[in-house]
Amino acid sequence: MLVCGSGIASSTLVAPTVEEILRASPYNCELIKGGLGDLKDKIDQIDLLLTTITLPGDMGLTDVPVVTVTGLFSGEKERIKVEILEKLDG
Amino acid sequence: MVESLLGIFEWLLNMGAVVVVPIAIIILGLIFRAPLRTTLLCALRMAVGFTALLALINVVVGLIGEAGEIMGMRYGVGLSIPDVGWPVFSGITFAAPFAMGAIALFILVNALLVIIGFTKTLNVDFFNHWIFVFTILAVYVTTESWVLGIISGILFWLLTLKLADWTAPMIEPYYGMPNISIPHAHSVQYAPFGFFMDRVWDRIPGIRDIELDPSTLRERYGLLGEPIIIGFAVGLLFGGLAFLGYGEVGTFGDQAAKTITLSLSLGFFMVLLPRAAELIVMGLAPLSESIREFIMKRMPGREFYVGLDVAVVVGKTEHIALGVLLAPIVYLVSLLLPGNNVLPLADAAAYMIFFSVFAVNTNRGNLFRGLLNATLIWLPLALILSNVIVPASMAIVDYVGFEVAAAQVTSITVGSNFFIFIFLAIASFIKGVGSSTMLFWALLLLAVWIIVFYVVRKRPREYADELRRQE
Repeated sequence: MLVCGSGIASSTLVAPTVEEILRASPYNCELIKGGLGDLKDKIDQIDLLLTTITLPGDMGLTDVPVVTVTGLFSGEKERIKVEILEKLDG
Repeated sequence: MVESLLGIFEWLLNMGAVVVVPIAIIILGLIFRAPLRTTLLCALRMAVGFTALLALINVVVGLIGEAGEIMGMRYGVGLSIPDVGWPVFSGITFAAPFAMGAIALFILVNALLVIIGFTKTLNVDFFNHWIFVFTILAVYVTTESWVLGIISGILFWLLTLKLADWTAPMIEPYYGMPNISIPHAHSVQYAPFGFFMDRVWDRIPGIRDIELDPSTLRERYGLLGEPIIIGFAVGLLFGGLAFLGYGEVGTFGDQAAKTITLSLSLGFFMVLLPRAAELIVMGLAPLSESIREFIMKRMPGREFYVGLDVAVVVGKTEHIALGVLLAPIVYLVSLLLPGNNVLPLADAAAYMIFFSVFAVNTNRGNLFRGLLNATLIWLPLALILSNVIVPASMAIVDYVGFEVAAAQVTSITVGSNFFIFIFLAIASFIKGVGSSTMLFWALLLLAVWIIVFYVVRKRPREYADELRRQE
């Protein structure tokens, strides 16, 4: 799942790049997009959380690996790709 | 031949954004070498997004307009102008054919400004540049002067970059995010007020010692308030006040039916609005990516802050808590504020959390002070100005070729950008189309802001040191 503050702007802007990274992985992934408000409902269904924002500490996120993808805005695609693939392998 | 070409051109302009913007996207996509298939899909998504946005505005305008009118007749006050929010107004702005080209230009020039050392912030937040384009449009449609419009947009943009540089030192110690700054106009222009008020509250006995723990709040109020519930509840309350017990609408059954229809329609509006806005942003995505890549590849090794949307920091508990608390408070303020005609709606759900960031991160995350700042300064200012900005906003809607029913709409987000009001008032006065009262308030606001800024000009660095010492 890919989240940002509102589910409208920044998550939508990085979505195509994230999809590209996921397609290049050996796994068959489905990308869900949303805002902070959607996270609580979906948290049980997801294997990996990608976020463009700093998440609040108390969201029960202990079971799900998290990758901060804000770096996609500053051209750190390769580093983030590696991180995502590592978390997917784990 | 020439005549038929002119005919086609005229037809294009009459069709407005729905046709012109996709064409602009395709052209820019070719220039910045985005893949053609994606570009075409984007163009289509944007056109569909605009169509959806327009349909939604017309639904809400018709319904709120009627209820507001009846409330006005019955009680003498009617919040008859619905706040349709930033998703709609950013969409309207992107519907101006030159909007995306202008944003690409802003970012290119920004890169040059970083290279020559004028600013340390490279604002890569393509989306939120819309507010500067909106400023250009607002001044242009009001004064009919492109020169004044463009000057206003550029000044506002430069000011925002400078404010991002100014607040940058505190971002790392506060949020633990290195090398970023926040050139997010809507929120950062309030930062001087935040620092200033922190000092004021420090001097008031009683208030000085109050602290409020934000962590308990969220569980109780749910996360951000569900938009569907806000829409439904506002419809029930507002429709009930307008229609129930009003004989001209018909029997009690008719009155109740109207109230329920209004509630469900507002629920529908709140649920579907983000989807329509999302389509438009989806249309922007590959283009914004290509432009960003184009610039990043050409940046020499100079050190700079990556300027991002304030959304990247709102996950902090105090921001979420304040965003949640402000949703009901904005209704209270809208009712108590003399002369207010704006009914908070979309931005009550989608904006408060972003808007109030600098109300609370300037005082070590003290939620109580954040609440006072937002209730006494942030919200009243944004609400008053979202009334004032209505004529310019509607002229922009008209300019981009959206057909909206005679009624009026506004956005608290647009209103919250008081610098737009300042530029608009000054430019209108220069062109002889503004009132001197407007000019007076604009200059007063500007003077207050400058004095406040001067008083706290050294504060972000001091504050950053204080935060580091606490750790």
